[in-house]
Amino acid sequence: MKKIVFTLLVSLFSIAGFSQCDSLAGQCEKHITDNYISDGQAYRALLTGTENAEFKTTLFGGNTYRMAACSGSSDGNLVFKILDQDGNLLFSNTEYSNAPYWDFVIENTMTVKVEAMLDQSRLSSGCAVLVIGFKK
Amino acid sequence: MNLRPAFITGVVVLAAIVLIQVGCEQPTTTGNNGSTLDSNSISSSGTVKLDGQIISIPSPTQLAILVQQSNLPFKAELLNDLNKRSLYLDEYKKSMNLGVYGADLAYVANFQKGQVANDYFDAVGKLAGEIEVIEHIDGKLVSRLNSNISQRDSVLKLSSQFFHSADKYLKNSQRSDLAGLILLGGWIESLHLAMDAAAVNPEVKKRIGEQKHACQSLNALLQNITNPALDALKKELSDLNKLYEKLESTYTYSKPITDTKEKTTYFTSKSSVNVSVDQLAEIKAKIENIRTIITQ
Repeated sequence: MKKIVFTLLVSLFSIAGFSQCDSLAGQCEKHITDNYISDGQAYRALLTGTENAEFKTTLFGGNTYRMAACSGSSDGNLVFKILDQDGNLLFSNTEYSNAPYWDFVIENTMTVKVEAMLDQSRLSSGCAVLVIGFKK
Repeated sequence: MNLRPAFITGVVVLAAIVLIQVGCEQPTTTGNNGSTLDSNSISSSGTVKLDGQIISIPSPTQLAILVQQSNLPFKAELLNDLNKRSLYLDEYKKSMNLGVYGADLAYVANFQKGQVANDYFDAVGKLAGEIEVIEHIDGKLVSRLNSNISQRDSVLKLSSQFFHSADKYLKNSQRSDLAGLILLGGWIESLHLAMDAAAVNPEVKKRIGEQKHACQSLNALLQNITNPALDALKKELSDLNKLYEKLESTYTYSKPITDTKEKTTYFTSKSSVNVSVDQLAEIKAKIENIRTIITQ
């Protein structure tokens, strides 16, 4: 019986998490305004506590990108930072009041690592969503 | 410790309420072509992960825009034949070619070919329907795309939103393998279309050389999918990855500059990649082999 209840709870929270990710994606996409084109991908992860989600992406020289990060029902719950291939910190939205979106002008092509985590003072668990657009 | 019946009943009732509440948004999970993604590479949120990392692949639209700046004439023969669509029977083949036709649509849009764009969007829509994705994409988005099919900027923006929605839905419905295969198809086709421009535009040639990370990610993703039908593709992509590994590149960190008022940071680091004529030819040959496997 314990197993059944456990399985039920895992399924329950998993489905609730997906649903939360869905509604959050819309909240995040509003920051990709008309002069930006989506990169066509959805970056999401269910996070708890101090867990972080990360991915590498290539930012091409001569382009301007916008990254938007969301979690929970209001802006500013997600902390995100960008590091270069050598681990140098290039940007952290914590320096700008957890700004929900930011623009990046890329001089030369670089592969960067994007890390996202919940701001523990605002949210202890939730779905982290990141969206990326590039300027037309 | 025994779980009391009242507690269990409470959990079941709570589960039922939440399931009913989210049921309308929750997609139906359907069986696929038998291909499976290593469960270690799917996160609890359904996002494709490799070694704990989420995959990110450059948008085919971005490369299509760069190709357009080469001022080359439109070449219909570069596109994947629309008549081949009926040949794509398995979900993995449909997914890869959904990506292929999507990249073709971005290429066509740049040349303001309204009718051709319409035909390619039709193919995209049909393949998306066959893998049961189209019904989960906002109908207004599809209508807007249909009614603006002759306008370059609208097609580029709306088709990217279309693929974003498809990606989101597939990841949500635990079909991340198909989401990854769409990215693979789109990436290969965008490189195929760019090869023509690389001969006359050094920027395009450089951009092709800058795909090392994308190739690594897609190679790792594909190797994780268990399906014998993908074996030939796996080998070719692995070979392409080896070609990319051989390219020489440099990177020098430079402190970024931030304009807080404009919410903008300028990344000023320097980088370069060296692609010789022979290396480009090798990459091109491998891309064509992979494209043939995908599209035939």
